[in-house]
This record gives sequence, C-alpha cells and structure tokens, in this order.
Amino acid sequence: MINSVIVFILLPLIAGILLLAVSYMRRLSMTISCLLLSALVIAALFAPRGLIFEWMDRPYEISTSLILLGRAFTLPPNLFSFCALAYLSGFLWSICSVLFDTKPNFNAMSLIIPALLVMMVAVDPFLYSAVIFEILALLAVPLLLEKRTRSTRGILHFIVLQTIAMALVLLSSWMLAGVSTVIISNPMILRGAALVLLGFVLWFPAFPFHVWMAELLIENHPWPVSFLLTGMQTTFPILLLVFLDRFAWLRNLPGLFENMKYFGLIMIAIAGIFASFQRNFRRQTTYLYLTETGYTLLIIGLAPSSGLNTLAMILLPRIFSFWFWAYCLSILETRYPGASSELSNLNGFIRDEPLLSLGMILGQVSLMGLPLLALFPVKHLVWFSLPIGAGWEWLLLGIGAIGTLAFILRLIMAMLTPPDPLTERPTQKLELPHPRLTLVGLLIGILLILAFGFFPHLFLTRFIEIISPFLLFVGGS
Amino acid sequence: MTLTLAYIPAIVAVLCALFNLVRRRWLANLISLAIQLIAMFLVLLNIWVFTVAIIKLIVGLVAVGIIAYSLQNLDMLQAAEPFAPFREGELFRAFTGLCIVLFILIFLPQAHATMFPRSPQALLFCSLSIIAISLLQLGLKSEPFYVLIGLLGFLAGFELLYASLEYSALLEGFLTVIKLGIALVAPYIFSVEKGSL
Repeated sequence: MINSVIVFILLPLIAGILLLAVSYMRRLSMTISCLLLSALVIAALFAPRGLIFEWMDRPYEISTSLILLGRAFTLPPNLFSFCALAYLSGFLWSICSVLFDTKPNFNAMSLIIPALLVMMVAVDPFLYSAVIFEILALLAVPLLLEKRTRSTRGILHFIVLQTIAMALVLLSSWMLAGVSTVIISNPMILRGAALVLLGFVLWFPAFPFHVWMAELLIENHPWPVSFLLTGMQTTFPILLLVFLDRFAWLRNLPGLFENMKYFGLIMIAIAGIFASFQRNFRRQTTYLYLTETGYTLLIIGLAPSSGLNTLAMILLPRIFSFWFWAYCLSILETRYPGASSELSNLNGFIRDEPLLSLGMILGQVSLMGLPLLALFPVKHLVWFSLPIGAGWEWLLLGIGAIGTLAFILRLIMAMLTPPDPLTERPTQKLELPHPRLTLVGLLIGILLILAFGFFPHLFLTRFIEIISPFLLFVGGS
Repeated sequence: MTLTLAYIPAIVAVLCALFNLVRRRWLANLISLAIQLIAMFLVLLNIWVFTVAIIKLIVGLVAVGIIAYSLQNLDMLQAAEPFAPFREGELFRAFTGLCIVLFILIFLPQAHATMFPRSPQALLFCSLSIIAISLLQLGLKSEPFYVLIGLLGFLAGFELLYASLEYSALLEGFLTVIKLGIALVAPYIFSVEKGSL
C-alpha cells in the first residue's frame, strides 16, 4: 500500500527539513533536492489515476487519505497534476539557484514550500489551509533575508497581511461550519462569506493589498521572491475553487461570478495603468502578478458560461513565463549587484547584453499574452470567452493590455537609447559564477516560451484533470 | 470565578496592550507583553481546564523570551525608564486606543448576542480589545520590534476568541508553531535592521 499524502506531502517535507541541516553543502543539497523534485514530478504525472498498478508482478494500491492528529489529508488522483506543477516549480527554481548565489537554504526550501502548498489543498477541513499558509509565510523570512537585503518592510507587511487573512479565514470557517447547503437567510452566513472572501483578497493578493509584493521585489533577491509568488499564483486559484465547491449556497449567490469577473477585469486594467507609469522594472513585476491574479478571477467569473478548462491550462505556461522573467532579473541582480532597477539604468543595454535584453523583452511580451508565445494560446481562449458585444469587459481588458504594452515599449526604448556619458552612473559589473550554464538556461527558457506558443496541445491538455472535481457547479464544461 | 472577578484579568490584559501601543521602551514592552499573556491565561481558565490553557501561556512566554534574548544578543535592548514624560505621538496613540476600547465596550452586548453567544463577555471584551489594539499598533508603527509584538498580541487575542468557539488539537499545534515561528524570525529581522546578518 502506497499513500499519496505520504509520497507527495510528508516525504518532501521531511526531506526538506533534513536538507536544512546540510544546506551548507550546496552541491549535495542541490543534487538531492533536484533529484527528489524531478522524481516527484514524474511520479505525479505518471501515477496511475485508477490508483492500482503492478510492479515486479505484485499489485500495489495507492491510498489517497491520511489521518493526522484527528484531521484528514486527502490527495485524490485529480490533484496529482497539481502536485506535478507545484514540484515542477520547485525543480525549476532549485536547479538554477546555484547560478544566482542564493542563500544555502534555498534548495531545502524548494522542497518544503511546494509540500506546504500541496498540504494546503489536501487538508480537510479547509480552514487549516490558512494556518499552513501562515507557517509558509514565516518560512519566507529565512528564505529571503540575507546580507544584501535592503529593508524588512516588505516581509513584515507580507507576514502581517497573511496573519490577518488567517484569522479571517479561521473565523469564517467556524461561522460557516455545517451550512454547506443551506439557503442564504442567516446574516451569520453572509458575514462568514464576506470574511472569507476578504481573506482570499489578502491571500492572492488582490488590489489594493498588493503593495508588499513590490516591496519584496525591491528589497530582496528576485529569485526566491518569484518562487514564492509563483507558488501562490498556482495554489490560491485551486483553493478558491475548493472553497466555492464546499459551499453550495455561496456559488448560487446571485451575482457572485459576475462580480468576480468584473473584479478580475478591474485588476487587469489597474495593473496595466500602474505598469504604464512605472519606471522601475522590478516594481513592475508586481503588476505582472496582479494581472495574472486578475485573469484567474476573470476565468473563475466566466466559469458558468465557459467552464474552467482555461484555468487548469494557464497554470503551466504561467509558471514557465514567471520563471523566465525571474531568471532574467536574477542575471541582472547577479551581474550588477546593487544597481538601480530604473529603466534609465538600462540605456545601451541592447548593445552590452543582447541576449539578456531579448530575454527580458520576450519574458514581458510572453506574460502579456502576445501571439506565438507561452501564454497566448490560453489567454486567447479567455478573451474569446467574453461576449463580442460586451463593451465594458473589452474596454477594461484593452486598458490592461495597452498599459502593459506601453511599459514594454518604454523598456525597449530604454535599452535602445545609448547611455549618456554625462549622466551615466558607474555600476559594479561582476562576472557570473557559471556564465555558460547561465547562457544555456537563457536559451532553454527562450525555446520553452516559443514551444508553449507553437505547440500548446502537447503541454496543456493533461492538466485539465485538476479542475475535474469542480465541474459540478460549472455549466459550460 | 464570578463575573466581576473575571473582568479583572481582562482589564489588566487590555491595559498591558494599551501600554505596548503607547510607550516605546523595549524592555518594558516585553515585560508588559508577558503580563498580558499571564492575564489572558487567567481569562482563558474560565472556559478551558488548567492543563490545556497553560500550554498557551508557556508558548507565549517562550516567544517573549526568544525575542528578548535575540535583542540582548544584538545589544539592542533599551533599559526601561519608569517615569519618562509622554510625547505627542504617545498621547495620540493612547487617545486612539482608549476610543477603540470604549467602542468595543459599547458594542459588546450586541456582538455577544448576535455573533459570539457562547463566549463569556469578559473573554469577548478582552480578546476583541486586544485584537483591535494590536491591529492599531500594526498600522501605526513600522519598526520591526513593534510589528512583531503587535503580531504576537493579535495572535493571542485571536486565540482567546477562537478558544471560546471551538477546540482542535491540530489547530492548537499549528498556532503554537506560528507563535514560536514569529519569535524565531525576530533575530533575522533585527539582524537585517542592525546590518549584522
């Protein structure tokens, strides 16, 4: 008997904790974490969904539930693909960590953090996921803070908001306990729903609670920050679906999906407007995450008419696109430590660093959803899920796209502009620790971004099973 | 414990939280937080048995001890000054804190009747006041030390409220990890602030 909870949660969690003890042996910890993460990804992708398999002429059964301290952790086969995505992001970030001189504990954390994210989705009752995420938020402190950390404002704001979110979700779950199918008549239920939705707004984070993301990106190394934020981007949509699935009365609330759709669209538009005025490209990364949160809410909002397939399909290209953008930012951080992230600092960059410049532009346009790049096939489906005559929806989407495009054009202009010798500030330029490997990583990233755009059917359809338990409340799927 | 007696530790806990909101002497703030936790433990005894309630107190005091020890190691612990005069900012925070406590006192019967009928009133007053004061502290101060003790205060208030609603061993375990986690990240944050990481 094999237990999926032990394999996909406890094993990486314990291995990660043990690796913390030997994290100073960087090569060893990186090798172990990468091997284990790749094994977990393969196991999650190829584990038999019928839960029975034969090996060396002996039948084995995969059990999907485990009781710990009186609470159930359940990891059904449809969530195996989600596990694959969580551990794939751990693998992608862990294998490149050696290129960017991250903290020694990064490899251990690349096992612990995905394990906790999977644990959040597996725990029953749902309210415990709030507490697990709070633990994850506290783990971000040793992951992010280091000698070159500029300030602790961002990390403190992050912990404070997550603590408040935890309290809101715990309280609301108590209020909503036992009312999974009741009709909305009790004000207590409405209060509970309001509290939990506010908890999700803090969790995601949605506008206007996104400021800490910009602070984290400015104050810390972009590699661990992007790892944390991308993990959150992958997990919270699934958690929101779990929550909506548990409470039948909530998903029947009139206007819930419509409001969610408009909230998502407004976030996309706001992120676009803010991005168009932004002069700091690290701070602008916040608006990329905000736009993707907006898309998540838009897709869930459109679920009654168009289904949730796009939500499952967008997760993988999103992970790769954020990985690639963070890769480019991290090369910059390693090569020009302490340099300002202002656009004006990139003058003449296209001549000095042509491949990195191409990568940065490609990362931005891929996240924007331009044709032939990673996010285009799925975003294209989302755009055409909107009714043709829906004026407001298209307007808000258009504002978001134009704003992001304006930033990309400014980025290209800054790179093309030759540096002014009178105003140029001297910046320290270091050699990369592994220049050839870094170049290989950049090329692989560019190829993957293009491969996702050209051959989406090869990668995306197998993740649709993630949303299979939520089809009950979706008319269109 | 009678109704009146039950209010005494609740009032002591709220006064300690108000002190932490107003005054800026780190050693005194830590002592005040420890007294607040002891007072909250006495409030908790109204609904929980001693052996379970004492765990929360011990964990809270250990967290305070870890923060004090890390500050001491970094040579950042300021000695308490018993009769230092009040500054304008402190007066403002005191006034705002008192207004919040007054507000909670006014709406306590309504909150008790409509939202938390199972929770004793003294406990509700204590927990809601401490949650509100801690949130005010988290909003008004950006220094890491005050943010961390504000977080510990907020968690203590929330735990007290939640203890009156339901009990779960797993949740208690998780909350213990979180409180100790907050205390254990304190040295990291103080070291960055001091530039000695």
